[in-house]
Amino acid sequence: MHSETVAQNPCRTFFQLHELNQDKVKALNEQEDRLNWESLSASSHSPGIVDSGEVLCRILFDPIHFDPLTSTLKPSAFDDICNKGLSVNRVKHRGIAESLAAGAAQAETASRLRTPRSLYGHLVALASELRSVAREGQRCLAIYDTAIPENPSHADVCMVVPDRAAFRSARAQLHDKYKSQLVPA
Amino acid sequence: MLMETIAFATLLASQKPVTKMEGLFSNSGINCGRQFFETTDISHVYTSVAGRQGSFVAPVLNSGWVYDQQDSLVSQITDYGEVLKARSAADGRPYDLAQIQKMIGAIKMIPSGIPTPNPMLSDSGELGLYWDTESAFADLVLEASGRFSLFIRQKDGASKETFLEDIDLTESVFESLAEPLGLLCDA
Amino acid sequence: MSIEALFPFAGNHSIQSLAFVFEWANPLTPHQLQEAAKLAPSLKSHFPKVVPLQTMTFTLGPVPNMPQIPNDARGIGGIHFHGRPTPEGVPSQELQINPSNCVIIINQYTRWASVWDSVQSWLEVVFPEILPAHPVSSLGLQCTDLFHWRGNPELLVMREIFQESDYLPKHVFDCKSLWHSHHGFFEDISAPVPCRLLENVNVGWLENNKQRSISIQCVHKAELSEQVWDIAALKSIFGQILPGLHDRNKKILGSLLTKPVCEKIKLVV
Repeated sequence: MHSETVAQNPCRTFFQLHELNQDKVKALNEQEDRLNWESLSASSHSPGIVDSGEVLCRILFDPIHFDPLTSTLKPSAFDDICNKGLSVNRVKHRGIAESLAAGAAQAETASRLRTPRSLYGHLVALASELRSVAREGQRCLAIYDTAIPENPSHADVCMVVPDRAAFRSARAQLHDKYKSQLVPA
Repeated sequence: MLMETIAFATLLASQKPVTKMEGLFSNSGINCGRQFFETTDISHVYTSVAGRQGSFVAPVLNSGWVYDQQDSLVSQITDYGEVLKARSAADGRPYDLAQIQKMIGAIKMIPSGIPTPNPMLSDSGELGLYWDTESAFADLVLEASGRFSLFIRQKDGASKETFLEDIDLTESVFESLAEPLGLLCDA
Repeated sequence: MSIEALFPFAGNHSIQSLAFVFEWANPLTPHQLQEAAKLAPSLKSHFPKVVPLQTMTFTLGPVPNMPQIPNDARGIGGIHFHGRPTPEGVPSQELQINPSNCVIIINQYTRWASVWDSVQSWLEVVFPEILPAHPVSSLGLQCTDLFHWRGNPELLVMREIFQESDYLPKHVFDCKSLWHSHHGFFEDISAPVPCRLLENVNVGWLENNKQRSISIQCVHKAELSEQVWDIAALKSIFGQILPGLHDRNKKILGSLLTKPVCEKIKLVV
């Protein structure tokens, strides 16, 4: 089987190249076709591109993003959309319970290597709702099927407008929509 | 057995010897007095939720029931400093701790009449304050440049947004932001 | 304008706490207080923590012909339900069931409408259990307004904070140091519900950990001419009296504070 060339799948080439880049969204926004890339699969481990009707699950590890007084998430919970990509799991490929179990194991590993982390909770969102976040008529977010070998359901939600005002707007809109949606662990 | 804190219900000013006193205390040792409305006698002493022992005929010094939201906010930002130190130790990545003092300075510049904001800290170490009221959302972020940016989004149908960046925050600059931030105040 | 250094408690409003009080005509027994603890699951979403209070009764000094009271006699003194803590370390709201009263305290005040809705919903949980045996004899509202003075105390001009008012002695305007004023009075009310109203207006220029503050604490207590035995009647009376007490509180604040300070906290009377 021939390996894909950049011309055949620039999306996959890009995400392979930037797999470990904690600031990949900045590089993504230098790509003119980044919105069109949603129709290309970002990973050879992926079961396919993310359909707008899909339910996505975000696992939360850090209580610093949660306000216990109002039981709401803080805007900082959504910051990853502008740097490394906001990691989510595609529920149709990995159920919520399985995501939570994997999340708990991940938190334990991370705790041994870094500051203590524990599974805090999760929230769910429709891909179409995330894709509908817009500013001045311009779409702000794209979702790529950035599957990894140990998690084929993995996807990234990324800002596709390289503008600080657009990021703050998208973050505010996500906060408004999902701040009270956290399901505690 | 550990003696819990006892808060006495009312202090009797008369010369009569006290024969029986009732105290109220919780198992957690929280000092709490009898609450409100002890009597219909106007001149009698009431105590507050925090068990304040004063009377209403003397000025109150160090009452313990006066709270300050600004102090609490500064305290939370200071706590974020400890989080950043811990992350730095774990990651081996330096975080800018000078920003803690800068943010505390910003908090103390918030003009009177603006609601008290909430603090936030991003995974990348970026400090911010945010307001989320019925009429608007706003966030004030201390950027890596050492300057601030302010974003406001109204919650009416038009969802009008304001974004100001590269702000060198001084008291007079904050005063000039009082008008857009005034959108946060619910009608 | 010198009131730039005057900061209302929450930035845009001055209410540090609000308390709704219901007094029982006769005290709850320890058994009833213990039973009240069973309300915890129904209140859990707003009051996740339960704090039982104990009383201890003891005798001081010999008194002739006094029956002997056993020392260290303990019993249950109340059941308190606490909301999540605020950054200031106090519960955001508290629901206390005490032998003589039920007190609902709001320490994280936002606006009257949302507080009102919440309090009414909590009444629905608590009172059906208690009312049949313990009617309510009075209702009350206690409001604590706080303003922090973040400037030089010497530069505060009291006439820029307070206006001349029936509830404040003129001496406060000339007083060079800390002061306090307490004024209480009764008023007989015939409508909407006949009651005797006890009002207390406590105003102070105080110092706490070197921070100067202006405090205004008002107590408005309505002693009902008829006791209330059932939840429907209580809700009706509550709905008629409490908004009126809230309005009285606003009127008193409006008569105490200068117009610029009222504008700062959006107080419209």
